[in-house]
Amino acid sequence: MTNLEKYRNAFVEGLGVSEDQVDGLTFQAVPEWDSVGHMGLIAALEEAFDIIFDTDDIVDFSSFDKGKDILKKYDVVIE
Amino acid sequence: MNSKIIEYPSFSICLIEAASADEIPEASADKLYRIEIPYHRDNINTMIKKGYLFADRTIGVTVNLRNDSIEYKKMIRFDIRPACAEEDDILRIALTSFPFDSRFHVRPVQDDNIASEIICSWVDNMSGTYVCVHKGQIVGFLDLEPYGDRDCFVWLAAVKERYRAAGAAVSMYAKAVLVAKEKGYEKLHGRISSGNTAVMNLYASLGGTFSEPWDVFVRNE
Repeated sequence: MTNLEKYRNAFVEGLGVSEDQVDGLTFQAVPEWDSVGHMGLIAALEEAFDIIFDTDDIVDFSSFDKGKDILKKYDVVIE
Repeated sequence: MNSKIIEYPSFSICLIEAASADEIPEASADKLYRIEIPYHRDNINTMIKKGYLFADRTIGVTVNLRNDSIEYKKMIRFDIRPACAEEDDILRIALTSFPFDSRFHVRPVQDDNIASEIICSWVDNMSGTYVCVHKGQIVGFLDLEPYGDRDCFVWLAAVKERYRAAGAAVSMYAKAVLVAKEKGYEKLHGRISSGNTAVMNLYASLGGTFSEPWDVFVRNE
């Protein structure tokens, strides 16, 4: 599985959204991405990429696109 | 029917809790009211005739603290600790966090002055407060009070807007559950607006179950 596939899958599994909702998704744009969904997403990403987010990055992780930038700090490149 | 009048510097409010709308007296024009009665489909019409307006429907929530199936520790990603002389920060957060909450907005029109006085009183009365800290800054608080002999109750909680998405609220509530367990409480209760689906989902993630819808009414003006 590529990093992009893992990344997209984390959104699908962590938030409980469908594959076609993922691109460009932002926090609170769908009911599933509330604060509880957010923690589920973070947990799914941490498991997928074997990382632990800093609290600052959890705060700043506000969209599908922003998340890619944040993951670069953890040496995870999403392409 | 339980009824009490609370005096504030610039107004008084009559708080009434009753078993049905039939018990509620006609509204008096010289008072503010906040009335709670169990949900019933006839409540709204009955109360309108008595001079009240529907303000909110709240739901009780209970977390069984004997449940060990949820890993609450893993849900805590922020520093949560007992409050220590941080009343100003807590009040600042409280005053900006409840723009429509029927516990504080007791008129059918937006009246932030009245709401602020009630919020101040609520915060003054908190005695079991925990704060959420991020980079030395208080970003949220949660107050946990005893409730009966064996249970506890989330009296008030709020998080600065920027941190709501980030899991600060989840961290605080998960910490509250752990604290309540450590203190030997059997259940943790809360009462939330049925419109607050974010908190409903939060409680659900903690294993909360929902019950006892109550309708809230204020005096029509």
